Amino acid sequence: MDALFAPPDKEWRRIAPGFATVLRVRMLVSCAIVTGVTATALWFLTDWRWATAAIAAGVAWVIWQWFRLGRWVRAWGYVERDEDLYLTHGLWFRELTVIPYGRMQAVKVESGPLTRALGLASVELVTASLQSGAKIPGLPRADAEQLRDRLTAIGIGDEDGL
Amino acid sequence: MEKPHPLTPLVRAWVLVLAAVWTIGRELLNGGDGFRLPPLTWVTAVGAAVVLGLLVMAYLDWRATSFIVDHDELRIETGVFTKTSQRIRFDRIQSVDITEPFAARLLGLAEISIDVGAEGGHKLRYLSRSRAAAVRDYLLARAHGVRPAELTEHVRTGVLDDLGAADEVLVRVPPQRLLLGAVLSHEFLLLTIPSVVLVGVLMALDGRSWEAVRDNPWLLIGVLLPGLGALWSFVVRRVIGQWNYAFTRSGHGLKITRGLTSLTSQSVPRHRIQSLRIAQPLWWRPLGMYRVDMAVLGNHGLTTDEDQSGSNSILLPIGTRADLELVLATIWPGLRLDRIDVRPSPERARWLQPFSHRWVGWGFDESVLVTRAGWLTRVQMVVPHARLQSLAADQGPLRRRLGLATVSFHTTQMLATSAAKNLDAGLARDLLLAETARARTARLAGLLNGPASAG
Repeated sequence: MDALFAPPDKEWRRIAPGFATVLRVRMLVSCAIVTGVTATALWFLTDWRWATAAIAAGVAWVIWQWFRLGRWVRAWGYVERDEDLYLTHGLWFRELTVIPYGRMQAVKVESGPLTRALGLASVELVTASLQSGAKIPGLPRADAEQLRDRLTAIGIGDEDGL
Repeated sequence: MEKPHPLTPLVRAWVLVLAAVWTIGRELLNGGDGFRLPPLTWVTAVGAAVVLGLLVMAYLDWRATSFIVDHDELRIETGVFTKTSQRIRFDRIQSVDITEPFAARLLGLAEISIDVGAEGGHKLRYLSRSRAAAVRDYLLARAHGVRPAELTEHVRTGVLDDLGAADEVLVRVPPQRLLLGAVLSHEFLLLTIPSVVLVGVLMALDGRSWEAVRDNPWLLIGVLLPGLGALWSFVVRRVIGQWNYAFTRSGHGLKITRGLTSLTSQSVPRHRIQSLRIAQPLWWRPLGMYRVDMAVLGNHGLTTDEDQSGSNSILLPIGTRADLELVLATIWPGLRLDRIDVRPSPERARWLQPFSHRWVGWGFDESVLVTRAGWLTRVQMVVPHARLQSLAADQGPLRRRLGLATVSFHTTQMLATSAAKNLDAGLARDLLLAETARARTARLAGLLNGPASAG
């Protein structure tokens, strides 16, 4: 099955492994909130055993997701070819997306507070279709800006023949 | 320099005028002994002031509006307090629609909507019907680069269907077919059958309710009221809005005329159609009827008429196979849908698509890509290679187990996806790479031949 998601010619370029830290922090925060609320509700509505079970489930989830997010980040890949950009991501639901340069209308580089603290940024490629959804999440900031500059230099939107 | 028709203020405020006339008329009929003004209370005074104020505003607005057909642009000047001058270059015009909302239609007036791409349309309200048709024909001719010798004064068009003498009707949908199709469509059946069954069961179970209903049938309306709203909007959009549908070749372009209470004449910009969706619901199969929707780039020409039909995306509301082929061949000359070889999914895909396996498939020829999906409604998406935006192959755990993948083709259409579902994984990769190459070739060919032929 990996033949389908093999890179078109060279190797996949990977995103920064540090991005896994961002995802893990987000996962911890949201899991803590959900587990806290559920455990408190169960503590007051039923007895302490249900609350402990909820906390144990939360901890198990955190441990599982911790390792899984590391693998997810390692599975992300992109390749810039002459005329298009290939992206692949996903562990269970794997996807391979091809975006021709002539179809890209804009390139956006964004970073939230956490990603900025780690020196990372995400690059989003906008086409005329809402279904394209191409966003490379955790590149080192310098790489992200160079990618954007390269794509702009190629001439985004020069094949305007819509 | 031309002004809109003098009756324009009346049309814009017609509801209020009607209400005022009705009130006064009622007073006259009730009074019986001469004309007496209604008592001068606060309410009537404020109401009269509001109506008068709106009429005056509409009149002033009409006074301030004018339009000029210039050397290479159309200028519309509006505005009572702040003057606005809108310039519309002829070569930017994508489509020109004529709409006659109900009130305007009674007075013989029509509104012109001009679509210039992404920034929203310009409207000219209201001109007499023949003048509007003449202006529309002129604008479309200039938009195609042809310069007619003069702007003909008036163009005669039919009252019921806005067709000129020189228009060639390609496809007509008779009202019986439209009604039959609407009744047999899924939305209608879903809206009516559950309510009818519910009422029937309730009445059968409880003997008293049967008597109550027999004595007072209005109770039924209360029960059915929630569904009636949805049913009404369905009827309006699909039946009233599409009444007397005709697909016509008119001069340099194609247009669709339709509508029962509000007549709309909508031009079809061939070169901006991004994809077509051909659908056949379950109960239309014995009749052999199809419906075609189009996705047009920058379709912002919404008009305000009572049935909200405006400029919508239905290309052919219901038609036979012959109609379908004719419409496709007119939009994209040289397209033969039945010549395209549609490849099915492998047998093991039956696990994932048990009901639609016989229908699902994909195929292509030199200019378009065809994908099929759907079970109750059999849908075919036709996408020209040049209109493809991006592609993706995806594979979830189930598909990975079976060695399958799905390839999606992204276009600008928001509501439907075009995808070759559940292909063999190796074939999926080949399709992905090959289609990327085909799309690029088609795009470049379109650019070389100029934007007019990029379709």
